[in-house]
Amino acid sequence: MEPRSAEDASLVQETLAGGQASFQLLVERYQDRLFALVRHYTKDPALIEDIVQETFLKAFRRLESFQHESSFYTWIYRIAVNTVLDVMKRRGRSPVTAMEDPELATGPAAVDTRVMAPDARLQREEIAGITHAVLAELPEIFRTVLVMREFEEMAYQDIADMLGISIGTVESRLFRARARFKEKLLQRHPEFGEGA
Amino acid sequence: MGHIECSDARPLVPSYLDGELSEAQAGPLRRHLLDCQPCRAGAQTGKNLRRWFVAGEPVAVPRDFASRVARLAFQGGTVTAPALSDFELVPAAPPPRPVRRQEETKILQFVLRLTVAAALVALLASVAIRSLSRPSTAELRADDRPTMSLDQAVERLKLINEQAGTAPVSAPNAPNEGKP
Repeated sequence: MEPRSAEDASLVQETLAGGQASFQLLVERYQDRLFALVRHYTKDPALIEDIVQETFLKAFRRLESFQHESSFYTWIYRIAVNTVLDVMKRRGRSPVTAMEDPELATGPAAVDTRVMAPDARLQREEIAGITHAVLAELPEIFRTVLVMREFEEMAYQDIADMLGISIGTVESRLFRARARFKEKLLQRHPEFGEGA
Repeated sequence: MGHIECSDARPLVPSYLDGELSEAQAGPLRRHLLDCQPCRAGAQTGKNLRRWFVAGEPVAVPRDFASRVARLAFQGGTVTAPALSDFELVPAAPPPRPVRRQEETKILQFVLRLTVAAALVALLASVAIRSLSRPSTAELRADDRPTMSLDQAVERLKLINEQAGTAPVSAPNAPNEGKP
């Protein structure tokens, strides 16, 4: 077990034994990453805070079920993703409909379209802003795999485990998600199409 | 596996760029990309695309967030083993009310109580002001002359008649007086 995992395991045991300070330490360890994760789904700071808090409280209630088979972060990340998707669903933000099932949709027209890298003159925050706006237009099912792969740099197997799908589904979902991202990006910013 | 065609190469490119291919798969693809300009251009687009995924500024976490969450978790009860798996949500259990929401609720309740109290005070004050400013029956008389008794009125009438040189008027309680 890696040192960090060992420390997490020890904090979990202390929390289960009634150590409030230990749970606070666990929250402090992962709060930044979870805030960053949830920000991919909403820009509302109050909602981000509520979702992360709900995530930690759910984790606390289920702490005895944490089996140490995965890292604490993987475990709580899974709870966070489900909490985010649940909140988005409750708020009516679930653009995946029977009419547009992202798994069944035919390949978007932009699959073969070339796209340029961000202009070197763009500031990092500007690029992040554009990307966030494009991501916001995607169905959660696509946004989630893109966030996991592109921002969290998770391996296909980890994404598959996290979402309970096969690696093949991860590959096809990522392919469609990227194609859709490219399509939406070029709709908003045609100047980034190659040859534009 | 030495040589691969474009139709075999293209589907492998995303996984290749994600570092998900074994060397046995990546080697032939790498060689194909060196030879095939269209496939290389496709791979370049994939590389370009990933450069869009940059994280923004770190999100500011409230300074007391961890202590608040830990306090709330332990106030909420003891840690219990759930029957659900980690991945499942708990549909029946209501989500815990965030600390911030509880504080807002307390403030809202205080403001509501204050509003009710203010409304009651205003109501009582308006009733009091209304009763004080209401005119009495006497003030509402059309005739604002001073009141006098019947005898005083008769006396006053007599005086007027005398001044006018007319016969005195009999008192109403002596109806036959003055008759022939």
